[in-house]
Amino acid sequence: MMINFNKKIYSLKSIKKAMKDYSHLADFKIGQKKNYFLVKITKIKPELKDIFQDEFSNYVLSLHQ
Amino acid sequence: MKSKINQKENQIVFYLNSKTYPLEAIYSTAYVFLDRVFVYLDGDPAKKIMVSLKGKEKLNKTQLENLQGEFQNELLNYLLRVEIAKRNQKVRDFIVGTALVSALPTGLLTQTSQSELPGTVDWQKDPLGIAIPWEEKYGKKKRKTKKKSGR
Repeated sequence: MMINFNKKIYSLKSIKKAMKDYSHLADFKIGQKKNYFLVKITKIKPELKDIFQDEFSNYVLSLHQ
Repeated sequence: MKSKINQKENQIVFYLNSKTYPLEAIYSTAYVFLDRVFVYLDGDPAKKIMVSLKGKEKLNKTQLENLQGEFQNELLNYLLRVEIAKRNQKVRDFIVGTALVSALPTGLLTQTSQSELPGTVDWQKDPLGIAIPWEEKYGKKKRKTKKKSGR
C-alpha cells in the first residue's frame, strides 16, 4: 500500500510523527518523488487493512497544527 | 462549485480556489471534520486545492452533497476567523505585551530599566558628591580655619 502526501500540504514532520505512532500496527518506509512524499506501508495488521490508509492520512492531517 | 461523487468509495471530491480559501483555513476546517470523515488534501496551494471527503459510515448521494455544503460553511467560518486574526494581530500583541509588563514585579522592572540605561550609576554611591549636605561638606572646615586664624 502506498500513500502520496503532497509536499506543499503535508509536512514531513507530521508524517514522521504519524509513522512513529503507528509503528506498532504496520511497517513504514518513506521516500519522495517530485512534489510528493511517498509512504509505503507493509505488514498491516489484518483486522485494520480496510481502514488503515484513511485513518493514517487523517492522523497525519490532525498532526499538522 | 463542481464536485465528483463516488458512491462506491463513499466519497466526494471537490476543488477550492486557494486565492479565496487560504490553506490555513482549509486545515482548520478539515480538523473539525476528522472525527466524521476521512479527509485527504491534494493539489497546488498556489492555485487549487483538492478536498476529498470519505464517509466513515455509509452515506448516500444527498448526504455526501450535504457533507460538502457543511464543509464549505465551516470553511467560511474559519475564513472569517483567519481574517479577524490578521486584522487584530497588532492590537492583540500590544494587549499581551502590556499585560506581561504590568505582571512583572515592580522591583524587577526597576532593576531592568536601570540596567538597560547606558552610563547610569547607583544613586546611593553618589560619585559626584552632590548628596552631601553643605554643612557637612564645608561647615566644619570653615570653623577650623576661623580658629586657626584666631591664634
